[in-house]
Amino acid sequence: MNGSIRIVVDTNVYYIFLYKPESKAGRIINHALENKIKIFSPDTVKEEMSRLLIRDFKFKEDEKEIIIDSLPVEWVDKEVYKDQMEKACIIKHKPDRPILACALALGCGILTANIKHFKPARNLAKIWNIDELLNSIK
Amino acid sequence: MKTIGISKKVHKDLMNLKLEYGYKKTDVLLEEMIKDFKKERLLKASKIFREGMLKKKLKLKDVIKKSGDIREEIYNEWFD
Repeated sequence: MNGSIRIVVDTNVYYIFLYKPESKAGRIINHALENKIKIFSPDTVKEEMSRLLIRDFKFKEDEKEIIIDSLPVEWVDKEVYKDQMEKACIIKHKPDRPILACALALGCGILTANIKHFKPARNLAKIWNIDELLNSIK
Repeated sequence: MKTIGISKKVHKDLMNLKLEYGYKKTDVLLEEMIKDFKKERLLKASKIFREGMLKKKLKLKDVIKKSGDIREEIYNEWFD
């Protein structure tokens, strides 16, 4: 396993993968499945996806679970990153802060399809885009 | 190394697969089977997700937008 790349993944990357598994986001998820990278997401991301799948897709609990549980991600409990929430205030858009806090707590970079929101945090954590990350995975 | 109990039939099937595909170690064969199983589950998840989008006439940008609204709601509940 290439243990050098550990990354906190934003919700939008999962949606892109689920919508189009053959996309570049899909290649990232496959790399995680093959243990070439290790991916994490805060519990807020899991909750966000759960609520969307139940509320807007009207999925049953078991359908929601198939989707969430299939992702090769380690969910990170709020307790692990809550102490980093203050540092995460560098991001203006409050709802994104748990992702940065999670990355800071784990000492990881962030993979998101919305780099703009995370730009102010560039000095605190590596902000990856999908192409850049794919080029870094051997 | 750990030991697991499997039926004679599963053992026979595994050994046949190992021979047929030239695996030296059962461990490696099982590891590949686990990866394939997980890939299948991911594809099934994607199929369910896309069917759900079609059914609800949602585009990817709608999904991301709605999810953003939920993210805000969670932040307010959990951190504010």
